[in-house]
Amino acid sequence: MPDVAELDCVEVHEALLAGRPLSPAEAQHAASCPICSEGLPSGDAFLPSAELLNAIESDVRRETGVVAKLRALPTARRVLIGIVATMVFAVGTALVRPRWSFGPMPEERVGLVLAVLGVLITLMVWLGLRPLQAAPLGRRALLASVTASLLVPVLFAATPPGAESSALGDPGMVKGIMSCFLFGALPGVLFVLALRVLDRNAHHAASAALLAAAGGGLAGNLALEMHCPSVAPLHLLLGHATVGVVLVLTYRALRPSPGGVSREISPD
Amino acid sequence: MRTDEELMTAYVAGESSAFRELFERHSPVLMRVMRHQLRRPEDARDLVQQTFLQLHRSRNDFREGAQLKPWLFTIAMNLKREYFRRAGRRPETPLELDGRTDPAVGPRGHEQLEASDELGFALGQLPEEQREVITLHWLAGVPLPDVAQMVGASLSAVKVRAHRGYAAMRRALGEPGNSEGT
Repeated sequence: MPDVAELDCVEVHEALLAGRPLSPAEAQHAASCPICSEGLPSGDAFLPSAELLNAIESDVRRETGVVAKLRALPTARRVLIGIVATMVFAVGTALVRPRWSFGPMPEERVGLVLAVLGVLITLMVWLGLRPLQAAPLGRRALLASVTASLLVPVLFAATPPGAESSALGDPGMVKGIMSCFLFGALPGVLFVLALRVLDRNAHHAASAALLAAAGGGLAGNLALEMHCPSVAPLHLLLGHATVGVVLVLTYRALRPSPGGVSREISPD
Repeated sequence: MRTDEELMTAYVAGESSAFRELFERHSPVLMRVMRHQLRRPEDARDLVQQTFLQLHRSRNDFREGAQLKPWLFTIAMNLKREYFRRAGRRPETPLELDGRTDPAVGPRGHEQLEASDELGFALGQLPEEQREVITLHWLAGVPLPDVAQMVGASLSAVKVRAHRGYAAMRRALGEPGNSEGT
């Protein structure tokens, strides 16, 4: 544009923000630039109303009860509660019907599976409860975390030591698959609910909901690892590894459809 | 006058009037930032409302030495991104910024209003990434290093967006007839 000194507005605004005097070149630019000549816009152009303040104070007054207290806890404590709750759900579910045999499965392998699932669950809780004042989670990091959560159970299911060949037509195969899927889905759903309670934004953020659902699959697989003695890849793939996938798809379908600002925290 | 951080510390300690003071101090700029990015004034107000509720919920994360303003604006930007995702559309080209249709707009001179129209229009034409950076830098008065932290990008990336955005705005404002679009 003509007559605007060859300097960028960035330097001018950084100088104004830092409270340092403008250099001659900056001053010349500021005088001729239509953006900088407006100066830093004053904050009084859009005056929020007293009604808005009342609405916010009303929201704050409603922040009572157990859920509000949990959400107000420091993030490190919320993450710790999330991890402990997951372990309780997984171990508690498994204790109802604990694994009665390791068969050809070496104990080291079981330990490895439990450790990997535990690390991934910790990661998903930590990411899922990321506070809103933190920079947003990058798309790649989100995708990598969710993909790992869905694929690791598939990997373990596809490569059991001493695998038995099996087919869907085998007696009891379908029933066993359904039984294990439901067994794993229970701690998975509890995991999603726990993270929803602990999430200050109540899973309105798509990334938090996705992480919770994918993490639910891991919690389900953790419980199943302590429950099911099967080493048939078909059973493990369809009855165990699908828990996360189904939770992700279901939660995505059940969450409120797109449509503007959440009403949860709108004025009375 | 107490600093933002002193007010937040006081609020965490139970002084509820400190929250009101923080609202009075920061809500005008937050409202301005939201109004420059959202078409409907009621949505902008809702997001400012949500921002302060989230500030309340996050209060126990606040630690001595932290700065409040980057906190508050990062919350606001995250909520705004989620708003656009939930609304199922790309960020909007705003808005009627002329103050004649929005009762929340304070009194300004006619010439200032026209200049604001043109600037608002030029800002609205920018790609979302550039508009977000310039809105925070120019309208909210947030230094670029803090903007980088808020949008989750490197400082150099944010500087490039700012340079390109300001240049595009200057070009847009230099072309006759742009204000007709407002």
